[in-house]
Order: sequence, then C-alpha cells, then structure tokens
Amino acid sequence: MMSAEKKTRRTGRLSALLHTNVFSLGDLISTARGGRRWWPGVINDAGLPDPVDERVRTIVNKTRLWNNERCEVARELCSHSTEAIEAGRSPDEVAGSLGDPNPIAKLIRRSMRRKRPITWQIRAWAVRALGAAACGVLLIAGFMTARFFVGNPSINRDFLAEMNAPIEKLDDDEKAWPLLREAWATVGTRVAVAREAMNERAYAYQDATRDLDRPEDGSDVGYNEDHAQAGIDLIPRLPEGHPDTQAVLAILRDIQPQLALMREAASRPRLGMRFSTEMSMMPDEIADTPARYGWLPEPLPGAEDPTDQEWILSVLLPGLGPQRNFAKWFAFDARMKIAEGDADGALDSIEAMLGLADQCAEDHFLIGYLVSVAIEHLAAQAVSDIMVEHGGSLRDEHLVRLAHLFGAPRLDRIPLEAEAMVFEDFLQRSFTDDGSGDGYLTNEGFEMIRLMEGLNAQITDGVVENASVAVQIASIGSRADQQRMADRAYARLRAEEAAGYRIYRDYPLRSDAMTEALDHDRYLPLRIMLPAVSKVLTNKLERRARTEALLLGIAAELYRREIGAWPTTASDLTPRYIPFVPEDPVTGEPIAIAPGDETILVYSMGPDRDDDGGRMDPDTERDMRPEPRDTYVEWPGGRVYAAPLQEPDEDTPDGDWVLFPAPG
Amino acid sequence: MKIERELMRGAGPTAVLRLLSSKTMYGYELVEALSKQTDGVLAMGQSTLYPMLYNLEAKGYIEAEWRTADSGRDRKYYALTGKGKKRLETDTEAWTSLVKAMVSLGVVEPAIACAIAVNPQSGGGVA
Repeated sequence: MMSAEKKTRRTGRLSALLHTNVFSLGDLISTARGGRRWWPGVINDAGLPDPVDERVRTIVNKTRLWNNERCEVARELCSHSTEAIEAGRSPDEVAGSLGDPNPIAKLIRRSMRRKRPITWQIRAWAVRALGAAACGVLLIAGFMTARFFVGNPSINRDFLAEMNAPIEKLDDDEKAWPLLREAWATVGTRVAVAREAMNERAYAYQDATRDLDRPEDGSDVGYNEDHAQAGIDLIPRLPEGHPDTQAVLAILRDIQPQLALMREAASRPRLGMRFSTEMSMMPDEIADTPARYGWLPEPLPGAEDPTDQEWILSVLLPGLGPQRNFAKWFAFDARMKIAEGDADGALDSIEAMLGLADQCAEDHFLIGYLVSVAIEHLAAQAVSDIMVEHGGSLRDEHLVRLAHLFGAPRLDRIPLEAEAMVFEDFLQRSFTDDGSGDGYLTNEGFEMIRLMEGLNAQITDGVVENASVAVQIASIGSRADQQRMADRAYARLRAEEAAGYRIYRDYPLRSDAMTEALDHDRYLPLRIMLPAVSKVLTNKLERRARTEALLLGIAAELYRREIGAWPTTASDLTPRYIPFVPEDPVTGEPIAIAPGDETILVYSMGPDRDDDGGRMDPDTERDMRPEPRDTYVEWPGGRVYAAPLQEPDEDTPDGDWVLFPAPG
Repeated sequence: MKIERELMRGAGPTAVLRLLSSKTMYGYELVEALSKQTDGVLAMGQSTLYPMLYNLEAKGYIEAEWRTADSGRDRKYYALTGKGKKRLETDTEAWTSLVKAMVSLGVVEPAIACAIAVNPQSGGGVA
C-alpha cells in the first residue's frame, strides 16, 4: 500500500483542477469547489492490495485522460478488482487480468476519448488536420527548396547564332550597317560637341529668363520656350529665328558627306548588323565614351557588363539610335532643300528616311518596329510640311513619286519573333529542362528575375533570408506554364491586331482573365519579360491613318492641278488619283475632306463622331485622336480593351482628328 | 481454448451485446458470464473488456449507470440500447450466415448448424 502522505499529496485540489475537462463548466466548478476528487483518491479509497493498486494506478495514470474520466475508469477497475478478490482470486491473478499497462491504457484512452463531446471531437480533428497540413506544407517547402538550389538550367539553343545566321550569308554590298557605322562615327561626335555648346546657351537663356512674368495666355514676349532648348533637339522642325539656327545649319552643311553615305546605306536591302553583346561592334569614338555622345541605347536589364552575357536580352541594337537621328537630319535636310528649290534633293532625303524605316523593322524586334513607325511618321510629317509651305515647288512627277514611296508595301505586321526568342532564351537560362519543354525555376533564374524586377529580397550564399521570397519562389509556375501563357499573349496580340480600326469602335468589351493571371506571381518571369507593347497597336493604326491621309492629300493636290478645284468628297478621287477611299478610323465611314488654306484637310470625325469641318478641339487646340490611354487598360506585353470608344456625351471633346496635313 | 485475437475482436462485442440483451450486467459479471457460458473460449480480462465497453458506449449500443448493490458496493451496470438491439440482430444474422458457410465447408459440424437453425438466438447451443 502507498503511504498516506503520498496519497494525500496526490489528491490536491489544484491538481484535480488542472486535469479537469475544460469544456465542461459544471466539471470545472465542481472540481474547484472540491466536489470532484482527483483520481488517485478514488484508488486510495478502494483499499486494493499493493499489486492491484499499483497496476490500476499505473494504467489510469497512463491514460492521460481528463480527471473526471480517470475517476470513472479508476472507480470501475477498482470495483471489478474488488469483486474478483472477494470471489477468491489472488491479488497477483487480478493484477495479471489487467494486462500490460501500456496497451490497455492506450485502448482505454482511445475508447474514452470517443465518448467526449462533439465540440471536442471537432476540435481534435481540426487540430489533426492542421497539423497534417502544416507537415505537408513543410515537406513540400523542403522539397521545393532542395530542388530550387540543386536544379541547374541547361542552355541547349544558341539563339544569337540562329539570329545571326541569315546575316552571315549577306554580301557586304547588301549591308547598310558598315556605312551607317562609318557615318555615325563622324556625325555622333560632331553633334555631341555642338549639343554641349547649345545646351550652355540654352541654360544661360533659362537663367536670364527665370524671373520673367510668364502669363498663361502667352502674352509675355520676353520668353520663348523654344529658345530654352538646344536647337539641335528641335530638328527637323527648328523654328525660324531660333538662336541656334546658324549652328544647326552649319552642322547640316558639315555632315552632307555622311548624309550622302547614309542615302546609299538606306538604299541597300538590309541593315545587316550582326547581333552581339559586345561594345566593340560600335564605332570606337562612340564606344569609348558612350555617355558623352548620347546615341547609345539604354543598357538593357541584366546587361551591365554585356561582355559577360551572350544571351539575346543583352543584345545591343546600336543602330536604332543613329537611324532615328539620321532620319531627323534627313527630314531637316528635305525642308532646307525644298526651301532652296531643290525638290529632287528633298525627295531623295524623304526616300532615304523610308529606307531607314524599313531597315529598322527587319530585325523583328518590337523596338525596331516602333522606331520604324516613328521614322515613317517623321517622313510623312516632312512631306506634309513641304506641301503646305512649298507645295508650288513640287511638280506633278514629284507628287507621283511621293505617292509611290508612301504607297509601297511595307512591313506592317507587328513583329514578335525576336521577342519570342528572347523569352525562350530567358527560360532556358532560368529554368531546368526535363527534355519535354518543362522545368522549374532555378536559383540562377530567380537571381536574374530579382535583378530585373528590383525585388526587395535577398538571397545570400544560397540562403533564402526572407520568408516572402520563399513564398514568391514557390508561387512561380513551371517553364511550361510560362511558355503557355506567353503563347496566349502573342496570340492575343495577333487577334487584336487583326481587329484593325474596330478596336476604336466596336471591338467587344471583355473581361480580361489574362491580365488577372499575369498579375499573379505564378507568371512573374513572363510579366517581367513580355515586351511592353502598350503603344504598338495604336501606333500601327495611326500610321495607317496618317499614311492613307497623306496619299489622299497628294491625290487631292493632283486633282486640283488637273481640275482646277478641290474635290468635294474623297470618292471624287477614285479611281484615277487613288485606288480606294480610306476609312474613317472612328466611324468606319469614308474619310472626310475639306478645303484648307494651302492643301486639303483630311480628317476623322474624332471621339465625338460628328463633322466639325476639320477643326481641332477649340479648348486645347489639339487634334482629337481617340486617346488610347483613355480607352485602354495597359497590360504587360499587350493591351486590354477596357471599353471601346465611348458613346459621345457632353464631356466628349468637340473637334476632329486631323490626319493631313500632319499637325505639329 | 483461446481464440485468435482477430476473431475475438469480431466476436467479443457481439457476445457482450448478446449477454446484455437478457439483462443489465456490471463488468465483473460480464467477465464471469463470458467465461462460463463459452467454456472459456471468449473469456476476457479487464484489459479487453473495458475498452470494448467504452467503445460500445461511445457508439450508442449500450448505456451505463452506477448503482449501489445490496452489499453496499458501487457497480456500473451496462444495458442494451435500441440501437444496440438492432446491431445485435445484424451481427446475429452475420454470424449465422458465417456458421452456415463453415458448415457447408465442413469446418463446423452439421449438428451445430441444426441447433442454429432451430434457435438462432441460442447461438447454436453454445450457450
């Protein structure tokens, strides 16, 4: 038997309270008031022989049940044992019938817990489920972490070589790049030096006029905004009387040999620039001090040291800057030449601009396409200015030549091929390859993403320091996921491209699951890498509208010369002067025309969709383009039509979208 | 003879429910009855009985009540519930089918099967 002292110690009320069913208020109160005993007291009261007492005590103790449950079990086992002893069984025999304490305690515990309240059962299952889920998450996280650090990308395709293969096959006299490189080396230096001087003059002007009163109505004649800029930055539309005019004209005279070289370059079938990440491909004069000469393209993400990286994302497209700058010089040159009466020379410069535009687009990079469209617009603007200011200097054959130049077939399909290759190249350098086009993100890949995205996250020596980074890594989808979504994005851009002018009026409103999907971290790599083509579609449509309007303007001038009066409608010009009547982008009706001062006006009805006679919005004096930023929601790599052009209401600006002559 | 543990796991609850179908009984009484009525075949100690009783109680087949006997001793009496009766009927049918199947295979003697056929509730005369 146990000593009385020991038994007393075990029957403390506090211990009983600690082991009471906390889900039963009645039990708690009863135990606290001493109405319920602690379970050892029940065994003590039974006065069992030592072997039986010890065995019952051990079993009940090991059940780890609530106190009231243990009391119940102890009472029943004691009762049973007492009956057995009184029936003549020996204490050892009775103790033996209780069996091994551990399994019986476990069985009793399990069966007694089944009798507990449903609220406890639910909680117990919930805790188990949560525990299992936590274990599962930990296991998955451990597996993914191990996989993340162990996996390596394998670079199987040399995209740079693939892109360069057709260029290697060109003959030297087919390539414009060597001539462009030579011309750029001289002009780049000349312009940079001149710009520094002009900037000093502009800064001095800004300092001198800083304290002048500048009323909003522009009545103050003491300040000229154009004069506060370097003249070289205002070409091709350098205003008359600008303080830098003579210096700019001096440059134009100086660079005539280079412009002649560039005319030849523009006449060649291909740019023929070999793609590379090496600075040595640039003229030494520029490459040595790139920051000074300003024509160097901005460094692409991850290409701080291009010589270390041979992937397409780091490819330099050094031709685009000088191509665009030469186009500006050609536009300026055309204006100067027509003013001097040299119409043939002016048209030669316009033709060179269009040649440069074609060469910019040939590489199938989106940025090249955008520069191409911009150069073509510059050319159309120059022709428009010439027709307004010096229309009389152009003979009929000049007008026909211009019509043929602008009406010639030109690359019009938005190029995505190079962008797709850039993305595929990125995937092969960031993800593992399971041989079937799938794989998972690697440590190297995430590091690239982090650099490009500027993620506020740290991975140092292979250790993820920030839990949010781990979640972000785990969220990123597989290689196949990225490729699948990229293909969807390309297909979508094609569909929108095919819609043409319909996007201005009746392209269906749609919810955009893709935008939402791209917002998710699952597609973080794609979101970063997809080209920003937010302006490409509208640039393409505006290019079409302005080119068609220019052709219509040229046709109207030829009509006027032959008939002696402006045409009344655009259909008067078909088929003799123009093969078809262009469509109004906004209304879908034939484009509107109206006689102007020097030329005819060609205009769209604009957002208000009514005919204001070619008048721009009187409040803002701007032409009423359909304001893509008002109608579209941009998304990475494409655009979403949040709404077609709204039905006009009292807030819609009142005016037309003047397409020809090109507004300033 | 002692039967295999797995067989006991299936037969024990049915045997307890059968005993409780005639009257309420306390734990020690159940142990004694099982031992005597089955010639020790289904004899079980406290270690087997009480977890089984608690399980049957948790499932609602039996219910328990503490009473004071004439001797002044507290005993916990178990009684069959309505749900327990239904369970016993189901188990009895299953065991009858099982015995018949064993007879047809020659595992059980036909005489026992006859006894079951005459009075299935008797358990084939085993009791």
